[in-house]
Amino acid sequence: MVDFKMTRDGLVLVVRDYQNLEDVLNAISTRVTQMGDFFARGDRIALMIENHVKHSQDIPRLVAHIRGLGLEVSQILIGSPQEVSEKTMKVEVRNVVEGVGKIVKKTIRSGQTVIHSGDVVIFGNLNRGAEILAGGSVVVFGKAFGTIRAGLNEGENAVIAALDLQPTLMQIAGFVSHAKGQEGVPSVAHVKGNRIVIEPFDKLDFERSD
Amino acid sequence: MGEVIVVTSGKGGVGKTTITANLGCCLAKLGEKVCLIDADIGLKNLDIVLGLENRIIYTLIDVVNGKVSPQEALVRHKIMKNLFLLPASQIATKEMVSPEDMKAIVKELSPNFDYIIIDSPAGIERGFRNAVTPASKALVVTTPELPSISDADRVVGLLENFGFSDERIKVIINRFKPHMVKKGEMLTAEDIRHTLSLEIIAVIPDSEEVIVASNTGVPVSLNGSSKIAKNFENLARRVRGENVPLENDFETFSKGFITTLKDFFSKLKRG
Ligand SMILES: Nc1ncnc2c1ncn2[C@@H]1O[C@H](COP(=O)(O)OP(=O)(O)O)[C@@H](O)[C@H]1O
Ligand SMILES: [Mg+2]
Repeated sequence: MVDFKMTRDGLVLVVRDYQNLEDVLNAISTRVTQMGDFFARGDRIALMIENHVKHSQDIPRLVAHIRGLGLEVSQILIGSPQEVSEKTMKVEVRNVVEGVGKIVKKTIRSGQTVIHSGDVVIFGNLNRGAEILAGGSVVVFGKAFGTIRAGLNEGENAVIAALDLQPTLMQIAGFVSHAKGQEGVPSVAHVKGNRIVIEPFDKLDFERSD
Repeated sequence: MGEVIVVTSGKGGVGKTTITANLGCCLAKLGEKVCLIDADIGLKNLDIVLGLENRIIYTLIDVVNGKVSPQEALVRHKIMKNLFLLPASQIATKEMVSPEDMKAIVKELSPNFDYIIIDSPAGIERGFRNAVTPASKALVVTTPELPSISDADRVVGLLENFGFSDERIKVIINRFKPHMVKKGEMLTAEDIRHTLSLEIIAVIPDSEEVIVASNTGVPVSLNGSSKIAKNFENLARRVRGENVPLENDFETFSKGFITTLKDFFSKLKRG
């Protein structure tokens, strides 16, 4: 159920798709104990969770559990365990905003991450260095400067909207963009013709060009 | 029970120690009984800035090791008789102190003081947790440049993780240079407040007086002829809950800048 893999980026704890979180937590404890003094307190590992979107609400508990065993999770790898490679997407884990539902009523600060399997709505800003990982769409009622990854579950029908859309990076399903919206104009980013387009909220055209 | 305030920042060298020392002096001048705790081992320690380095007998480590009580380790200031310092140890590493130790020490000191102010390491450094755990309020110091503000934002996120609500976190803008705002080279207080979504409690100008003072061991706020002393007094009064308009922080600047500052402040009010 859980195993360690050695990669170029260091040690990765791979968690296979699972039914019961408690079983996984126990398995991690056992595995870390088995490895004995291989680890020193505070060692950093990466975490890969198969089908992470389905389990995204468990990520905070997994990270906390691993930390409880004296290890730090430095990043979460997204992709399939078969391809722990350059192709996998890496998400730096600094501090996951706890108790995240669909709606977050605060500004997400540099170093904070919001992870949710469905849609995410933020009432506040998404500051530079902050990140959202959403299975569905993302709406920011504020200024969005950080990184937004949407549609990780729902695919390219997901949209990203913000009152001011100036993200460092946007991702919708497999599409990535560094584009920014017109400053101060509420805008929506969506996938159209195999790329991400940004349109002002009042000139929105969801129709596919292909 | 004294109020426990931590002075922290995202990155080092932005003025935490300077502000801790001067805030302590000003609160003491206003009649408060103040204890400063040095939880950071930086280049210029709190003891040096206060001119107390030659009076240290015991340090935080001696208290943690149970050699002396927290009260016994305190050093009284030469001029301000109601200002005390609990010094940091230069040799001991920060891992020798735990957040629980700090909590216990602060709890023991707190009934004897109106304010306990902790000079903290920057958020990225070891020892940050020790400094933050016993505090109920935080002052985050930043300079008005984007990287410093982004680091401040990160430390605010960390403080939130430690259970600080945003009302208990205030921002101090230090080393503010009005002529750079005029030229558009520096962020205004409005920009900073928008980015951090937090209240700004003080704006402190960049001043040579600070550097000169830190070399003599007499904080600027104890120097009668210092102009910047007023800024620290304003900060101290606001910490006490007095209503001192932020506008007053700009009285220090020379007349030539008045237009810029008016503009700066009107933006601030609108925001
Ligand atoms: N407002 C200011 N104007 C000029 N110099 C300052 C000011 N505040 C701090 N400094 C100087 O900056 C340096 C770093 O300040 P310090 O208080 O030691 O920072 P920190 O404790 O955050 O590391 C010191 O040399 C100090 O004298
Ligand atoms: Mg310092």
